[in-house]
Amino acid sequence: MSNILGKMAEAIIEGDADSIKDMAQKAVDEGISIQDIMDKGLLAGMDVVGQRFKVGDMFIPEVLSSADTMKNAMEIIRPLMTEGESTNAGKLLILTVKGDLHDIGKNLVGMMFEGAGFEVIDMGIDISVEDTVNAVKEHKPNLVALSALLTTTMPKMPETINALKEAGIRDQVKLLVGGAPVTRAWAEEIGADGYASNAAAAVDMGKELLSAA
Amino acid sequence: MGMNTDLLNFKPQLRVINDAQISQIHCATLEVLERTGVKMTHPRGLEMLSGAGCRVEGDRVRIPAWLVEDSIRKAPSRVVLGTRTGKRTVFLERDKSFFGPSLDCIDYMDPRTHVRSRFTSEHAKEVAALCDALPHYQWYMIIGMADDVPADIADRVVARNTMTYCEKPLVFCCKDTNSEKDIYEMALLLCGGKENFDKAPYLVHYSEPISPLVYYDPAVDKLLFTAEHNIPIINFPAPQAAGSAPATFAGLIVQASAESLSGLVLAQLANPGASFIYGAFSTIMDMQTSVFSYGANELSLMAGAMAQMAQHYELPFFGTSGATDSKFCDAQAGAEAAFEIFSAAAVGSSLVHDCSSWMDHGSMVSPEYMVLAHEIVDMASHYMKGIEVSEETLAVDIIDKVGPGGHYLAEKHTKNHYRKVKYSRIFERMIYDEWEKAGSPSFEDRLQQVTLEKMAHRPEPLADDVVKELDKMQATWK
Amino acid sequence: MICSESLFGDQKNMEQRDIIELSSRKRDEKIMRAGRDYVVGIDTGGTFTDGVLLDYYSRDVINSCKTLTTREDLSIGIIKALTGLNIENPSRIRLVGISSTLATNSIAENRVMETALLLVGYDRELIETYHLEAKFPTKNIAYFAGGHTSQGEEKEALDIAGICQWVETNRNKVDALAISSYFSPLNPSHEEEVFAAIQGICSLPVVLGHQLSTKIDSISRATTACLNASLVAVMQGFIQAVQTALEKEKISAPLMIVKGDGSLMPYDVATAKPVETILSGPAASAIGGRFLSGNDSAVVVDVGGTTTDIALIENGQMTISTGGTRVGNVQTAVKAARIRTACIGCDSRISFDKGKTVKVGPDRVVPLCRLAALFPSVEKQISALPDKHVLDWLPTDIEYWFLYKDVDCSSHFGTDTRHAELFDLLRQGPLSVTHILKHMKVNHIVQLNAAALIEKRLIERAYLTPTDLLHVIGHMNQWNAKVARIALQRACEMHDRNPETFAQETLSHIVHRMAEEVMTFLARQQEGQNLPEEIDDKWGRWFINEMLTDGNPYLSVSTASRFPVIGIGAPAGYFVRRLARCLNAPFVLPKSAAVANAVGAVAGSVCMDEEARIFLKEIDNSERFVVQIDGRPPQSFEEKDDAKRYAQKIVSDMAKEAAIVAGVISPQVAVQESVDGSVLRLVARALGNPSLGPSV
Repeated sequence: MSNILGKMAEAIIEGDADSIKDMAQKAVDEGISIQDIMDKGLLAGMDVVGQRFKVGDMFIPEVLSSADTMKNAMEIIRPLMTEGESTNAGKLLILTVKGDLHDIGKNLVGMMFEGAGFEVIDMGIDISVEDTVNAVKEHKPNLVALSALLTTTMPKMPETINALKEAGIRDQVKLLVGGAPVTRAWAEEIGADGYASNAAAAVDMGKELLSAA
Repeated sequence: MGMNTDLLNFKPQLRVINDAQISQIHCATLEVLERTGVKMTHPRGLEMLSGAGCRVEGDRVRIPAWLVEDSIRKAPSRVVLGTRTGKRTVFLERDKSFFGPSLDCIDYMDPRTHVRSRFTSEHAKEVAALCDALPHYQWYMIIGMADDVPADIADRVVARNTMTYCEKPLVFCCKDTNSEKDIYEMALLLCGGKENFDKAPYLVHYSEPISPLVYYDPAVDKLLFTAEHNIPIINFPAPQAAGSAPATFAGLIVQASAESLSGLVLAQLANPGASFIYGAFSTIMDMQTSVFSYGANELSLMAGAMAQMAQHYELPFFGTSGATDSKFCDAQAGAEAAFEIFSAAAVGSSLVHDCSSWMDHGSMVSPEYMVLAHEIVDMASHYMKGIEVSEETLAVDIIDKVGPGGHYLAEKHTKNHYRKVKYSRIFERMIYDEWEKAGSPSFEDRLQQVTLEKMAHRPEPLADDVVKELDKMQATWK
Repeated sequence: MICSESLFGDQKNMEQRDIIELSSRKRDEKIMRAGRDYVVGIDTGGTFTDGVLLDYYSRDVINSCKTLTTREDLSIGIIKALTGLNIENPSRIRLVGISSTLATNSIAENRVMETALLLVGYDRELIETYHLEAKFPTKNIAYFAGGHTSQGEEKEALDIAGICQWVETNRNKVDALAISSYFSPLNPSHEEEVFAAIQGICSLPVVLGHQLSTKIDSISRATTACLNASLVAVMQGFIQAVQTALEKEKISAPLMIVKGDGSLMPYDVATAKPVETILSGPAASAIGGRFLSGNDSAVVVDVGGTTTDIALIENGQMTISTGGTRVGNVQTAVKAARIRTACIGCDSRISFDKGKTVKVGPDRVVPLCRLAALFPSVEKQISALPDKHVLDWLPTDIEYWFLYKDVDCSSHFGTDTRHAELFDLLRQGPLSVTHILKHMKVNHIVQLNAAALIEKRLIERAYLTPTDLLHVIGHMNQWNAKVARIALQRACEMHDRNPETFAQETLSHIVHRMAEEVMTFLARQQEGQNLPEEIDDKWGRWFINEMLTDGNPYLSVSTASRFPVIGIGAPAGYFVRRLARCLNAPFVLPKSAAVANAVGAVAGSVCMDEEARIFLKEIDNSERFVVQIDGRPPQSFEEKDDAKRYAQKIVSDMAKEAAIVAGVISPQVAVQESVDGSVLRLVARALGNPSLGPSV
């Protein structure tokens, strides 16, 4: 049993998106618990990826291959998860705020979260405050990540925070903000829960926020 | 072509003089050799030159243009150097550039303590090991200085220590033929005999005529010995504009070229086809301090012109870059090194020296500076690769596949190519927060850390019997 | 319903009827002198109503009085307290201040008006998805179209017709209306339109969300407005009763009510915003402590019967809790003093846990020594205990129950005859639980099914308390020390403890618990640390223990409070003094510490806040800074600084004006700026002492 899990972890690290589905299916067929497949296989692999990235051994495109591999595996695993199991990573709602058409940073963050086993709902770019609140209502995420790349669109972040406060659901989600002009100090001032300077840090911060909650 | 590869890209090129100027300088050089000539007292040298058609009057030797041009044609257009294990690594041909540090000097800046002290033979070991660890330095140079051993044998002690701790080809300078012989013998021992040595010489000898236009006897001795033993030779004057050479840059180049080429004539007479490396340390005299500047922009400009002359002659060239007049690894040091290295690489200087370690207008060795200059050489090398243009790199298909508003992060094409970007450990690009979290390391902190790490490197140790043999040799040094 | 006095009036010994009176009236009464300014402060607490007659400038307490709080009608207790003060010359009283638990208790006991909550522009689906309706204090909720966006723009047209129709249909079913519209702090126009429209339809009290709270949180605004609406009538009745009482006493001074942050507001403001009086009791104690001691920066520790309340005063101001105040299950947006309440007081029950550990609180009981002082029968029974054979001893021997409030059982408990039987039994007087069980022929307390009776405070329990221990060690001698001693002896023998050391250890344990609470409270003042409510990990615990007990033979750990500690409440002299020593802090015990709460009811400053909210609004591809100030039309500016300048001027003037109207002669105005997401808030606070009424 540990053999297939080890291979899965390796496939994640290698970014072998093609064969991971078969492996996942095989692991399921062998009767290995979803928890073990996640913890000892997929997430164990992603942990290594995260570590290597941090020390500069892996680069973003490789991490994304791993994330993509993870996503493929999750297509097999997620439908088999029970309520309790699926919450162990979390659900992320991510978007670029209204007036801002920047996509790449947000995509990167989204993919990294997917790689960490999160369910990611990517609303896209140019998303209004109202639509954001409605999406929170619809999807009930436990993390919301807002991206802004322009100083002119940054004010949409606190406005979104206020819209969640007004709706009375600010405490139902943890809020991450990011983007080139965003600073930690500003994130604190506007009352976000977390700020991350890059995609990998965002995932770490997201995990930290959820584990503290 | 890359800085030192045969990649078939367009290599970015720098030219500081045009073809007409090259012709003019060449003619002026021939005129100087024919009209003014050089001063020499060495009997055998005088005899050889006289016999070849030079006009010898007392200690003045005037060399006819045809002889100079004949000698240029005789000298090989390419010289290949090998490591002490015989690996062919340095190809001095066309406009390829190979950078190497100078390892010894008067003073030493200890990278652990940042205390300045006299350079010793022990320091020679650790800087040699550091050079061995830095891949973009393909060779290194010593001038034979160590404060802790008798001056008589310092050149050989330094040579022995550096040859033990660095496998790369060695450019050396020594006090006389006696020393040169000892060093040559050590090299033969390490290479495994003359036959191996001749396949890809492990040594290059560096010799200096005195500007303006003087050869002293030991220099001629060494020059002849070197040529006769198939050791490639660098004949490298060090004219100082407005001091030992005209204040005008063209005038300095003309004089320097005459000085270097006069040695070429002698070498080709001693051993037709002898490997010869042309060049001059072409710098200015700082009129505020009288300093012989190692960081002057004019140095790079004149060296660029001389590199072009070498390319015109199809001779390997001894370039100069990556030195500084600053006393520390500060912004001045970084800027001077970067300017010089980029200039040398872009113009295509072939065997580029002093790149490294040398600070405070040629009076101090600093391992940290050696690492900094190495990083800049890496940057230049990366840049000189130019831009590959092909169907694969034009990426039209992938542009179409991703389409407007998409992204390339997860494309296989990206994965195949993104690594062509250079990353540096000492020039950081951290996000401010991360940098702060990492303890806000300054440039100096990072440079020191990388330097000390690299200095821990040691090459394959020499065999015991080789060491014993070296000990025996050392016992005979005078 | 019989009020407690009549209950105790039934007892034979009339002199001892005021069972819970802590101090007898002062004998060394000072005399009111001409040319001085006298004020009256009254605090109606959960158990007692305290009154003081105070020389405002010398801070001398001329007279004080403690009576039982009459929960059914607070004004009765207040009148008693007033009478008890023996004011010889009522015309010399220049100000009356009252702090009242009326609002808190009314909410807790659900004695409020039936209120309908009209929500304008709220997303019903979202509220239901997140089960937010459970947060509202009423089930009467109606949703209407309208409301604004996060930029204060109209989200959708206001369904004014629908609202009017609803009000017409339902006006007779409810007592009050609360209206809250989405993003009303940024644009209150819909709330105001609704208010105007329904004025003609009904005469119910109507409360608007933005007037009670400008917090960006539609749920807590609605909740606060709703609570407030449900309290308006209650507060109105109370203030009328107080005014009547004052008239009866021939006092014609201005009447002020204490707010949750310890400041004073004119009674008419209190009538409109009764919800702001929530938690005013603990705040008044702290203010009183400050006033009596003259310390402008201090930790105030009020040791009461049930709880110990800790508050911080910095530069003369109470520190305010940043989140809204919670009352029972309802989270409000009301700003109140930051108070830490520890469920440990001098009437806390001391119970013997398993092993050798002792638990103090959180239950409050009547100290046995006090019970015995009132009922000689109790003394007799407990004195007889040592005669009982050791093997027959039971833990229930020293727990006594007695009737606190008699009721007609048949109407209250329906068919459960056991309760009626219990009431009949207890009408004879207090009895030990051993006795009760035997008489009721059951084996265990649980079988009496009396939890509800205790919770409703029909039956009170008496047991060993810190008060008893203080009698045993000789620190107090107010009540029956002999009974306390026997009960302690008994309990200790049963649990194999030495009574002497047990008393000392337990009292030390209480001091340490209180000190820990103060320490946690002070540590958590620091912003940005997000320290948990309780000290959690093993090392954290170790540090705290060593700081307080200094018991480690190898390492001494000490802490020091940067603030002096003011002790309030009757036993403060014992507990708070020792607590201060643990924290290496100077200890201040003000004169009249026992009635500091009543002093605080009149000693606070008057404080009026006016707020401007500035936010960015996109208008036709350009951005404008909108300034929203209640009661003013919104103004917009191109430059943020211009918006701020304008806002600052207006709110300063408004706050000053309001303070002058409230009776402050020369208010000090300060403007504070804070960022609330995309909204910049400028709050002008006008502060000053109340002007004393004319001396007649």
